[in-house]
Amino acid sequence: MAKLKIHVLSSGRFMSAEKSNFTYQMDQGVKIVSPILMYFIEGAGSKILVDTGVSDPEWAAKYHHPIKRRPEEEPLTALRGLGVEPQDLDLIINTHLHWDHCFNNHLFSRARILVQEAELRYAIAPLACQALFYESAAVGLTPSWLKSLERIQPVRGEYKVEEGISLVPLPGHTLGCQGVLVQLASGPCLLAGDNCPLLENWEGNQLQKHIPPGIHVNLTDCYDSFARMEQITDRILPGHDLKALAMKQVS
Amino acid sequence: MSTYVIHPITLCRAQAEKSLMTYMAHQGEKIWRPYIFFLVEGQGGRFLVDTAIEAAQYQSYLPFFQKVEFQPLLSFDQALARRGLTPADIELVIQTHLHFDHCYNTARCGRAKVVVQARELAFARDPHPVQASMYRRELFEDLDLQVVDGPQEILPGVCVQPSPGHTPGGQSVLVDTAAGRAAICGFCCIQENFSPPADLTERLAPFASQPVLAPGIHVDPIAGFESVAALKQMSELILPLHEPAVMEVERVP
Repeated sequence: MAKLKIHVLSSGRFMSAEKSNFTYQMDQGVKIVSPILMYFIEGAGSKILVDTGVSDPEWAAKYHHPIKRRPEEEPLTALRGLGVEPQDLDLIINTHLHWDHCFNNHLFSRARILVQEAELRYAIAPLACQALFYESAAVGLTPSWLKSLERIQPVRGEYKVEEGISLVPLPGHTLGCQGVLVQLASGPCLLAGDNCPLLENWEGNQLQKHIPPGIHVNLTDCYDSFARMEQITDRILPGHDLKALAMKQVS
Repeated sequence: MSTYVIHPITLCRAQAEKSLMTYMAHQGEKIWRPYIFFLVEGQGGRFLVDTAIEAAQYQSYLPFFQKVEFQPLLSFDQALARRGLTPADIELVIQTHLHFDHCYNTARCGRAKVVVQARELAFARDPHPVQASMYRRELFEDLDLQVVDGPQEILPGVCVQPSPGHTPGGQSVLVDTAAGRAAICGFCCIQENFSPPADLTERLAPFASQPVLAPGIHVDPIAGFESVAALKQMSELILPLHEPAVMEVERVP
C-alpha cells in the first residue's frame, strides 16, 4: 500500500473569531485567530482534497466575518504549491456544507464530491439561526456548492473511499458532519471537521474529557461522536486550529 | 372564564454570562441573573410555578458556585410570608423543569402535588453527562409527583405546554389573565430570546433572519429554538425564567 501523507492547507484566516463558537460554554467573549483549513491527501490512488475552504475576503466580510487571505492561501495557489492543478483533482470530500468548508468546490471541474446524504438534505432548508452558515435561500443567498451539484455523490453512513481512506459520520456540529479516517504509516489519523474545530476540543480539560463545539445542532450527538472517535483513533486533525496549520504535513 | 394574577418572586441573583441564556449571542456580556419563582392566584385556585433557590442554597450546591458572586434577597419562607402564606399552604406546584435551581424548595411544600412532564422526570433520573450536575434526585424523588405527558389543562385557564430543548421535558405554563394569555417559560431564558435586539442583526449576521434565540444551555438547540418560536406565537405576555426586568414586576396584570 502506498504511503499516505496529509498536507495541511489554509484557505484564509478569521482574524477575530469568537472562541466560544468553537468551545461550548467556555471563553465567551475571547477572540482568536482561526484558519479555515483544507487537507490534501497525497499518495492515494486518487488526488483527494478534504474541504475546499472559504470564500474570498470581500464575500466573507459582506455576509459573514472578515478574513485575511495571503496569496498562498488562495485555494488554487495552495494546491499548485503541492504540484496539483485544479483539473487534476479526482475527489473532494466535504466534512459538511457550511460555507467556509465547501465554497470552492466548483473550482475543481473534474472532481467527484462526497457529502453525507443527511447533510445535503439539511443544507437546503436549515434552521433559521443556521441559514447563513449554509448561505441558504432563507437569507437570500445561493449556496456555492450548488454550482457543482451534478458532481455530488451523496453517501449514507460509513464509506470506504479507497484502501486506507474512509468516511466516518460524526454528527453534532451539523446533522451530516463526517470525518475522514486516513491510515498513515504512523497510525490512523482522523480529519474530524468541525466536531473538533480546535485540538483543544479533543484534548479536553479538567472538567470535560472532550469539549463540544459551540456551534452544534445536537449536543448529545457531539458526545456520541466523541465516543465513536475514541474507538477509532487518538489522533485528530481539527477544522480551524493554527496548531494544525503549523504541522504543515502529517505522515 | 377563570383568570389569574401572577406574582414573580426573586430569591437571589448572580453574576452570570449572558450567552448562557442566548445561544451564540451576547457572548462575553455579564448580567445579574435572577432566580425567580411564580405565585399564581385566581378563581381556579392557587399554585406555584417552580420554587427557585436561595443564594446560600446555590453556593452550597457545588464547590464551583462559591466563586460566583451572589446577591441574597429573600428566603423561600420569607417570600411566601410576604403574601401571607406558608409552604404548607401550597397545594400545587408546576415544575417547568427539574434543574436544581428551579425545584430546590419544592420539597418544603409538603402538601403539594407537583406537576412534571414524564420526559423531564425520566431524564432527571438518568441524565446525560452533559447535564448530570444540574439534577439531584433528593430534590424531586420524594415529591408527590403528578406526571403528565404532553400538553394538558391543569386548572381551568391553566395549561402546560411542552417546550423541549433546554431540557428534554421542559414545560411552559400558559395562564389566562385579565390582560390575555401569559406564558411562564419552560426553559431558562431572558427577554432577548424572544426579541433579539436590532443591533444583533448588524453585529451577528447569522441572526439576520432570525426572530428568536435558542436557549444557550441546552440538550438540543434546534428543539430549543422551535420552543421559543412556538411560545412567542402562543401568548400575549411572556415571563422569561431569568429575565432581570421581571424582578421589578410585582404582579401580572
